[in-house]
Amino acid sequence: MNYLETIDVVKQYANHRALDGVSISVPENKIYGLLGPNGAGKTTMIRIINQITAPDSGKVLLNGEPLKPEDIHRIGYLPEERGLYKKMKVGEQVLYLGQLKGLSKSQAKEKIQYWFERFGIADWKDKKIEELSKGMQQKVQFITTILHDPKLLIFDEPFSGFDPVNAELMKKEILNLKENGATIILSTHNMSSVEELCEEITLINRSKAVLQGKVAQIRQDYKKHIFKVQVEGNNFNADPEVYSLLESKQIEHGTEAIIKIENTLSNNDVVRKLMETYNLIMFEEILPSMQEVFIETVKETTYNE
Amino acid sequence: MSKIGLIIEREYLTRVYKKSFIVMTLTIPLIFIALAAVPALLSQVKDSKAKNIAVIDETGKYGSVLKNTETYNFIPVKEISETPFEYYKDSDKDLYAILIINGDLIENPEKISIFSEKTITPGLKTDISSQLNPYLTDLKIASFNIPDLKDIIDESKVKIDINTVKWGETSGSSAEGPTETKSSSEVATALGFIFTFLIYMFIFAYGGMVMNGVMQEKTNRIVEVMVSSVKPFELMMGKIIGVALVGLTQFLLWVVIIGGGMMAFGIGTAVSSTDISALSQMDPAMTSQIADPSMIGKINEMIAGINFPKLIGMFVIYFIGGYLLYASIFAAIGSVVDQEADTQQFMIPVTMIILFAFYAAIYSIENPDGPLAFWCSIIPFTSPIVMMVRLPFDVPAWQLLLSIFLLFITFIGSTMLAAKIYRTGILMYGKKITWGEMIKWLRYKN
Repeated sequence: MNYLETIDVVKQYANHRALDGVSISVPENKIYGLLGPNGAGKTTMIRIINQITAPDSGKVLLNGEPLKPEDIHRIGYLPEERGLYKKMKVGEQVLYLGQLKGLSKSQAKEKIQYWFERFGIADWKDKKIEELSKGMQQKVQFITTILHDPKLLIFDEPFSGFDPVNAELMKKEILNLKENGATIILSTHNMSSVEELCEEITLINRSKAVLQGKVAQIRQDYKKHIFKVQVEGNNFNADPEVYSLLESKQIEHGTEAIIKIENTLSNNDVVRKLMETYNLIMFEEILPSMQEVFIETVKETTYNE
Repeated sequence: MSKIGLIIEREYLTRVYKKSFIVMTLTIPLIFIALAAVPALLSQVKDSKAKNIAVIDETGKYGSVLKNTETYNFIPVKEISETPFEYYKDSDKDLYAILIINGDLIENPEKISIFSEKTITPGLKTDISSQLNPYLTDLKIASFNIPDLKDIIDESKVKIDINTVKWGETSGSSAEGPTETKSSSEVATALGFIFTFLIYMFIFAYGGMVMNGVMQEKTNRIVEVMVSSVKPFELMMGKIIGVALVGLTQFLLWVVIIGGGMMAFGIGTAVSSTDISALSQMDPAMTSQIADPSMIGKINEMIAGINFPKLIGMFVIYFIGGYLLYASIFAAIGSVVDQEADTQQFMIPVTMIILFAFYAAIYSIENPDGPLAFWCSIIPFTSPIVMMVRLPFDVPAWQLLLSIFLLFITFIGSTMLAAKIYRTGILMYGKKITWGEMIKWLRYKN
């Protein structure tokens, strides 16, 4: 079941088309990656989902129904460009934003108590935002995003501005939110976190969705038939009929090599062939990283027009 | 609470609790009261010590006329053996100045001079002439040798005192005639000017506040979070209304403080009127007017002739209308710029219009029913400011209604246009926006 769906969304600005017929389907209770280079149209898409701007054509369905104004209460949005009222006290600020998301004052206060304690920042309530460090401000901003228990969360670069310890903490919180039933859209340039967190992605380039699907499947689809091999002994040579040698190095008990095998051969064929000559220790396929997939796809779709 | 209510509440409370607001609200009336009271108070503050003036009267006729005052001691000097300068230097009496009369003043009024090393205060000159002039006048009158001439002249001095009476509505039986209130065009003019200036100031101060608020939200990037919760229009209107309430709060506090202060001060002047005889010694020319005991009564009567509730009510209506008209424009300007310096190009035309309105108002003071005053008090962009000048002079009801109607229609229009620019502008970064671009945004669909 898809929690959020956009169908053929088009957004035209004065002299450029920010989105050109983009359809995405975000399954319920999954983490979905919305990727793309700067200026590709991600922010426009996020703004359309948040009803900040309206599409020129196309539909957005939330839980199977067209978006309604009240739906903003079911969405939590952490924008890439963070912002809070600098002169406002932390507690008042979160309360205010929570109320604007439809919480009653008492509900909001209760939740503030819970989250502030969970993040260990209960002492900051009476501090002004401008007195906090950047990382602390990010935590406050994160709480304002999730305070009203949104069913759909949109995080735009959620880990920027955090030190590695806090970034890890945020990662855990995001996974925890998913455990508790939220559907999450993650927009980021950090591809390792995409591999780690996202089940599915859409890659937008030049206002179009150029790559969509499950992360695991995409990496399979983009595989280059490259394997890591470890054999005993100091000798390891290319076999032009079976594989080419990309690199090799000596390791403690033998040799480690990266090979690219011929498309026509199955893995078993290659293993059999290798076993004829070498004492095989390890044979492992190397799937392309999302980073590589990203770069390759963006290059392809940018220059092949 | 509705979202716009929440926004209004925040905008209002954060501003009203600001130190600068509290300080401004309290000090401005104090300054106002001080400006009214200080001249009176200052005149009571005297130099601790009277200054010594040596009077060398070569004619021997006038020296005795000059009486000591609280500020000056006039010391007649018979003859001096040295030059006046040497005498001034040598005297052990700490002389402030030397007054030399070396001729008959009736025939040669210029034969009187003051010498000093210091700059002579105008007060000394006034003091001397106000003592010598009546004496010389009497002498001159006597020199004509016409019996009772002085009495005749005194009798022939007529000073008219025109009462201006304003007819109100005829109430009850027409036989009683219309109600009469004494009015004063001077007081009306002064009031008109004060209210004009206030509205002019308020539009700039609070319009500017809206603009800065919008700009800060944009540069803080909070705006993206906000518009994911509320509609841009709600955000803009919440700010505009919140700031308007701040302005009204400030105005009402001023009315209360100044009203209270004036009352206290009014009672004060009534009491101190007994002191006036003492004051008259100081500056006889000036106090001779105030010394007229009926004067205070007259001032009170004139003020009583002004319909303050109506004036204040109209001020509030025009403040709201004028403020809303301009605040939405200021909000739109704040939304299209990334930093304060960029506001200039957009502010200039708006400032010009407001300044024009202000000058039109000042010229209208002379002729509050003239064509300039009439048209400028009907046209919405100038009416809030110009109408203030005309109000104390009673504007025909149809003109008031027309003017208010047009003002409110225009502000609804300007708010709608501003909202279109605003919602595009707040999410637009790093791009210099031109007027042409803003007009294009007006055609964007939501």
